[in-house]
Amino acid sequence: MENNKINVLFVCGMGMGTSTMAEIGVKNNLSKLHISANVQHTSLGQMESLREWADIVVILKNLFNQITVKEGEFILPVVNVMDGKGIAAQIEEIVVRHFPEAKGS
Amino acid sequence: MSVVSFLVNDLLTTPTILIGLLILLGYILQRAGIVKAVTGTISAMVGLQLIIFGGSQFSAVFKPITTAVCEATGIQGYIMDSYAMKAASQEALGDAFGWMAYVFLIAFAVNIVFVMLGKYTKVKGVFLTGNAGTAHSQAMLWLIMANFALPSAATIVISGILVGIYWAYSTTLAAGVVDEVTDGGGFTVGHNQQIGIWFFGRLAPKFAGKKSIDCEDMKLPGWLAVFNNNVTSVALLMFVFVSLFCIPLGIDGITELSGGTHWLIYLIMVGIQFSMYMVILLQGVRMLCSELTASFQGIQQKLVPNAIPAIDVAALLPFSPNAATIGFLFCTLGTVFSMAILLVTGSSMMMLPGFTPLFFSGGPIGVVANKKGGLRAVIICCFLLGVIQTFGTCWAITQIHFASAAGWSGMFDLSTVWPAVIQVLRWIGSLFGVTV
Repeated sequence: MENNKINVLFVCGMGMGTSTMAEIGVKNNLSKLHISANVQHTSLGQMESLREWADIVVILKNLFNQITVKEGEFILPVVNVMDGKGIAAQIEEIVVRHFPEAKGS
Repeated sequence: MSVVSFLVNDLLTTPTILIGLLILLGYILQRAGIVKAVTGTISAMVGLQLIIFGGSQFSAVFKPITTAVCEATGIQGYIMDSYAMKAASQEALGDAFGWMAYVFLIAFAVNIVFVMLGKYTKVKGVFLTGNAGTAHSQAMLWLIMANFALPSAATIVISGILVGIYWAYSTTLAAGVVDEVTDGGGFTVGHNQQIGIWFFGRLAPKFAGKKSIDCEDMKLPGWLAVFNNNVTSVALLMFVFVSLFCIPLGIDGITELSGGTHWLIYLIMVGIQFSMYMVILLQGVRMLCSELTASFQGIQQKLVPNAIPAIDVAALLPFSPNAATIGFLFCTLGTVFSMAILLVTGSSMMMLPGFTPLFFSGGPIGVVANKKGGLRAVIICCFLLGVIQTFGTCWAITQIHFASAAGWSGMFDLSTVWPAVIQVLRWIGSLFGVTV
């Protein structure tokens, strides 16, 4: 958390196209849900360096089984990166429960 | 006069400055604030400089190896990888590298116009993948410069139109089968193998066999997962293939090449260095392109909201992770088989497979083949894919007129449709006497 904003990290294989598209779609939908978020995207190989920063990690489903989810971490595996609305709704659930200060009205 | 000469000879011939100015113009047109405009422009310029540096270092690692093997055997080695193509075309273009920004903008405009005229052109897809798009722009620019003696403005415009038409039709062709694989995911693929996706989508049902097995019902050995990590797999693959390529040198030859370092350590370090320069390139591409992708998506939604966004192919992989892994493996096998053919037939060229065409063609085409025909189709299609990509890249290499290039893209579209188009253009060009 930074200034009542949640940090969301998007992870794909190379950390370019796919995670960028997911980031754009989710960011738009989060603001519709009045959730303030900082977003970043990266590759699986470089994910560790940003893991501490992230409150929620959105990762392609095919990469999900390669990471070990640590205690207290929120990691969402996704199948369709263009489903910004669906991913944002899943993030909203986590925010409401665990990071209520990021949710405006 | 000196001001004009400064503008024309210095400012506009330094690629980073030229592209920086265009990006700044983009921010001004979007009415972004001053902070956003300055930070965005400068980070894009730093990104571009990283790309230039990563690309030249990528070539620098490989050149002494190919030179030594070429001296020993007469075989010239090339890496089949999008990043090798980036490195080679940057080197070939030199000061003209900055022109790729014009090519990119023209291509995007052409793509949008084709969608606007969709009633007549049938085009629906808009290419949004900045990382692949910049690579296409610089590659096409070099292909046109290398094959045709045309004025620079004509070279830029023709390259832009060709890339734009490729984007418009390839993404539209792939849309149907991508929609099927993703159960109406709302996107198509805009990368380097979307024509291959369409082609194998048609071919795969023929290889389905009587009892089709879905790859997702299989249990794959866990160690295969290491290949999903790009940093790891580039290092591993380059270590293996460079080592094989160096066999003719013998241990003495490799030790000579390494300047005294133990041969095994040297080969391991070559793998690690390739991976490092790819990380540098990727970081640069990320700094240059992620804003580009975002703003192009904004333009698309404003101008042609009903178009289908064509995005990076990695978006297909989560729909069938096992098929992607099996596809990668059999694409690798097909490639190694083709390398053996090149060796046995005494070809003067040898292809070294990079990570990108194996993983980002083999993977998604595996996903498509699995959906359309199950395991048997995945195995046959992806093996065939490896063969087509390897020999197709040999064909493309003959057109780049740059013998000491680090390599060229081994992706399906760039080793089939692209060289075919260049070949046809060469015939047309020779009628007008402009073919080099």
